[in-house]
Amino acid sequence: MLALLGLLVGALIAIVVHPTVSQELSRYVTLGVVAAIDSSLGGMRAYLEHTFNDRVFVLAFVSNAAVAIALVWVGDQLNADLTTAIVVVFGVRIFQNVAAIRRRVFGG
Amino acid sequence: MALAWRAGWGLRARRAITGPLLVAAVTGFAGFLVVSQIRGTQGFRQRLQAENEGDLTRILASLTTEADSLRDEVSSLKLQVLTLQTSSQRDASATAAADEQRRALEVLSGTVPVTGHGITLTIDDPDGAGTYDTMIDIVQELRDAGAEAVAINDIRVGVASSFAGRDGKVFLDDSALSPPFRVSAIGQGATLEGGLKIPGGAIDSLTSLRGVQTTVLRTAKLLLPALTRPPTFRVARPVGSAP
Repeated sequence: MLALLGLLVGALIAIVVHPTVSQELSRYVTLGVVAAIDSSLGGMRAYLEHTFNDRVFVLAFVSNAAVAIALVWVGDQLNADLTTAIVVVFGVRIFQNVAAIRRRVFGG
Repeated sequence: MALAWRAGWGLRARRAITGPLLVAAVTGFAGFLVVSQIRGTQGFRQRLQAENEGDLTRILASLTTEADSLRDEVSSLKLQVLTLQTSSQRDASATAAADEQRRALEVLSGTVPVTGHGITLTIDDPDGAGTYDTMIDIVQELRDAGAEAVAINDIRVGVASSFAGRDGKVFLDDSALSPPFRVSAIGQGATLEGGLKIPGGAIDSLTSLRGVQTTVLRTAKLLLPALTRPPTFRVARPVGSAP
């Protein structure tokens, strides 16, 4: 409940404050959002498997986003586009998590 | 997602309140990021979409016009560079020509010392039989024969020089000349000598005078001084110059 509330409050703050994301930072934020979606699905899956843990969730969320953003930054320094690689990895994980949740919910 | 977490609220309520708060903060941050990113992307897209076809055409046309005018400017500037280069070359050659002319005029007018080959005519006149008109005749003959510079007893004869006779002495530009007279002329030696020695010419009339002896020597290198007083013009002015 608190998590949902936090999501809504964050969204509301963003709507009210109306932050502008610059073009350079936009790519990093995108990666952060993708990591956040992955972590959220991971949290749901863990909850359904009865292994949910606050600290693990928070740690996974923060570290995933941080590593993703750091990798993109390193890629920029090396003039290599690592964004695609990270998006692919997170995409695969998101699908895996969704599949796990589906199996839990529908007993696939 | 929200349904699942709401269902888990009862379980997590027993735990310390910090865990759920952390989760809420993290999800709040995620929500914040998602919304701001979506809004930013939409804003960028909207800015491009706001320009309709007419606007885009106008922007393109103005950019093309600008490029055209810049290209025109480049070619006109190139042309200007060429023109300036040509005119500077012309100026340089005009300066060289003017310089050469100035040197020639300086030699002719006697304002600079000159050197070159020529002849020296020595007139031995112990009795003082020679008069100023004899000198005028000699200088006239030398000039007719193409003498480029003439000096008598190391006094340069310029364009405005004059001979005068006073008290039985010959004066050149207010300087008394005393015998023997040494007339130096720069020019083609053979022509000058021939000019002096033509029958009935300067040398003939000199030798007909009493006690006068003449010697003509061709010299490989003569050095004639400049005029002590360069000609000044008080009345005559070049046409077209300021008064």
